[in-house]
Amino acid sequence: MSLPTPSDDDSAAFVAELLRHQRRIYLFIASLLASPTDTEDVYQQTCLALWKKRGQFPEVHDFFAWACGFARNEALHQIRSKSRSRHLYLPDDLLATLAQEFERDLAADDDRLLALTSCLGRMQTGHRDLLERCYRGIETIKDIAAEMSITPAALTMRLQRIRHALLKCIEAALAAAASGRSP
Amino acid sequence: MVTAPLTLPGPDSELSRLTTAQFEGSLTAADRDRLAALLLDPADRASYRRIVWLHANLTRIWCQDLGGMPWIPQPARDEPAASAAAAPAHQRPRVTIHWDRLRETASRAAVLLIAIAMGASLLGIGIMALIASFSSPVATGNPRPPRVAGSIAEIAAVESPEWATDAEPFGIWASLMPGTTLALDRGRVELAYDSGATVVLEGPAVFTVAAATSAALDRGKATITVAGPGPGDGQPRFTLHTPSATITDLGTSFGVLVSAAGETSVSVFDGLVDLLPRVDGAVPLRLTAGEAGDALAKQPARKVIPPQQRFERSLPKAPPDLLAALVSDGWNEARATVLVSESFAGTNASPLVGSQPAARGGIGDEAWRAPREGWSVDSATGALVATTHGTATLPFVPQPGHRYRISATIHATSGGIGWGGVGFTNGAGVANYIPNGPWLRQRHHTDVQPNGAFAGPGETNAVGRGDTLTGEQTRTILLDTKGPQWRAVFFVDGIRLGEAGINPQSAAISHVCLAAFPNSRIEFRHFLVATMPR
Repeated sequence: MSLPTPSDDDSAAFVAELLRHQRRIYLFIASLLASPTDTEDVYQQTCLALWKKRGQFPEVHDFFAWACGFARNEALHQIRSKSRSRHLYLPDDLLATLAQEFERDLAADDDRLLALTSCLGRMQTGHRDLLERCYRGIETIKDIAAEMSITPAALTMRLQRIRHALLKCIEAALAAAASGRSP
Repeated sequence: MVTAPLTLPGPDSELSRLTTAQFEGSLTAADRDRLAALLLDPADRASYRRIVWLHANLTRIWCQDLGGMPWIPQPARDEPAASAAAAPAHQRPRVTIHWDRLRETASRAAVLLIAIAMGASLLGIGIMALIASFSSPVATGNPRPPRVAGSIAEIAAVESPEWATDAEPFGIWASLMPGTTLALDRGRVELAYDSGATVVLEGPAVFTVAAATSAALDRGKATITVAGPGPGDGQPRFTLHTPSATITDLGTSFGVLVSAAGETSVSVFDGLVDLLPRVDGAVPLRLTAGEAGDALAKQPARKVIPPQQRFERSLPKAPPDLLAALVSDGWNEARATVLVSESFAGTNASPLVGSQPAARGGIGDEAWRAPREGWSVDSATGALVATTHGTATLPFVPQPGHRYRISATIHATSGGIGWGGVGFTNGAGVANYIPNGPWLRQRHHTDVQPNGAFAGPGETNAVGRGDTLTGEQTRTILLDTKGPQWRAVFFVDGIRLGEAGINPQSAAISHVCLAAFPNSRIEFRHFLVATMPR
C-alpha cells in the first residue's frame, strides 16, 4: 500500500515536530548505543526513516514515542551489524527495558537539561575545561593524560569525580526547584 | 521531570567505571556481562540512566566529530544558563549530514527541507521562523525574495557594486520597476529582464530600465544579450536609447559604450543591430557580428574598427541555495566586495601561470603562480584544466575583523580517488598540492574515500567525515577573522558541511589556491574571492 502524499502543511508540521524532538531522539539513541559514531549514524538513519514515513505523521499522537520506535529499530539494526564488537553493547532484552525507561525519562527532561546547563556554568573553570577537552574527541585520553603527566587511569578517575560532582549538582538543583528554592 | 530520589553511585563505584568504559569503547565482554548483571537491579538501572544521560549530553555538547546532532543551551562560564538562540554560532557543534544517503530516497527539495530544518535549529533560528518560511522559497533552497508586483527585471548578479552617493543601492535579486534608474559608480551588476534580455552594466554608468524590452544608457558601458531564436525575422527584440542614438536589437548580443559627452559606440558580437543616430533625417546603420559603429553628436552613424574593449556578457553567479546557506553565517552577497573573480575564459590551452584574472575580463590584477605544465585555460570547456599535480595560487593575506568567501566550481573528471581542491594556503611551492588550509577537496569518485574539508594544517583537523558528492560542485569556505581564533565554515553547493576554529599563526595564510592531486584531471570554473566587513 502506498503512503499518502503529505501536503506542504503536513510536511511543515512534521519538520517542526522533528526539530522539537531532535535533541531527545539523539539522546535516546546515544543512551542505547554509547558510541558517538554509532549514534550519529543511527540518528541520521532514523531521520531518514522518519522522513520516508512522514505520510503517517498526521495520525501520530505522540511524535517522540513514534520516533523512538524508529530509533530503537535502527539502533538494534546497527548493533546486529556489529558482530565483531558485539561485546560493547548490552543484551537485547536489557536494551528493550532500558529503551522504555530512557524514552520515559527523556520525554520530560527539560528541567534536568536546565540544571545541567546551570551546573556547567557554575563549575570550576579548570574542571570544565578538562571535561570539554576530553569530550571534544580531538585528543585521546592517553594523550591528554601524558600531557598532564598522569596515567590514563588517573585521568579517567578524575573525570569520573568531575562527572559525579556534576550529577550531584544536577540532583541538588532539581531538588531545590521541586521545593521552590534556589539551589 | 525525573525527580525520583536517587543515591548516586560514587565516582569509583563499579557501575560508574563500567558505564564510563562503555562510553569510551573499552568495555570487555566480561565487563559487559557484569554491567548487564548490575542493571537487573532497578536502582542501579536508574543510576545508570542518569550517568548515561550526562555522558550523552556532554558528548553532544562538545564532541567535534558528531554531525547532525542537536544543540542544547551552553552557558557561558560563570553565567546563568543561556538560551539556544542567544548563543553565538561559533560555540555550537558542527553539522554533517550524510547527504548521499538522504538523497537516495528523498527528492532534492526534501533533502534541502530536512537540511534546513536541522541546520536552522543549530543556527538558532526558531522553529516558528522555520515554519513561517516553509512555504516561501527560502526553505526549499531558493533564497530569492518574492518579486515586486509590476516589476519587469531584477538584479541577477553583483560584483562589488558601488552606487552613486545620491542613488538607490540595489542588492542581488532586487526587483526593478519600469523607470528605475541605476547609477553605478564602480563594479558590475547584471540585470535580467523578464522578457529574456540580460544587461551587464559596468560602472561608472547610468542606466534606466524603461520598459519590458527597452532601456536607456546615459553613460557608461553595457553588454546586452537577448535570448530567443536567432535573428532573421527582422523584428526588434530590445531597444536601447543613448543621448546620441537609438540601438535596436534584432536578436543578438552587443556591447555599448557611452562617453561622458554622450557619444555612442556599439560592438556587435552576434546577430544584427540597427544603430540610429539622433539626427534629423538619419537612417539606421545595420551592423552584423564582428562589426562596430559609432554615433557622434549630430553626425550620421558610421562603421568603425571594433574598439579594444572587453565586454562581459554575464557575471558569475553563486548557486541560489549556496547564497541562502551563506546568509545563515552572516554573509550578505549584496554587501560583498569581489577581490578575485576568475571565469577562466581564455584562449585554447593557454597556460595559467603568469596570467591575471583581469586580463580575461575578471577581477584581480595579481598573476597566477602555477605549475608550468598541465595547468591551462581551455576555451573549449570554459575551464581551468589541471592534469598535473600542484597548486595554483594568488597572493592573499586576510585582514583581522573581516569575513571572506572563497568559492570554486570543481569537477574531477578522472583520477579515481584523485581530487581538486580550493582554499587558503601558506605559499608553499606550486608543486606542493596539499594546501595548508583551511581548504576543501572533491574527488573523482568517493566509493573508497569521501571528499573532505580540513581546518589544516594540510589534511589534519578534518571537519566531519566528508561528503560523498561527485560531479560538478561549487565548494565554498567562509573565513571569519574576528578575534584571536578565526573560524572557517565549509559548504558544498548550498549544504553547510561544518565549521572549525583556525589558528591564524599556524595557518599563516598568504595565498588563495586551487589544488590538484596527482594523476587526476580537474576542471575548475568560477573561482571567486570576496570580502565583507563585519
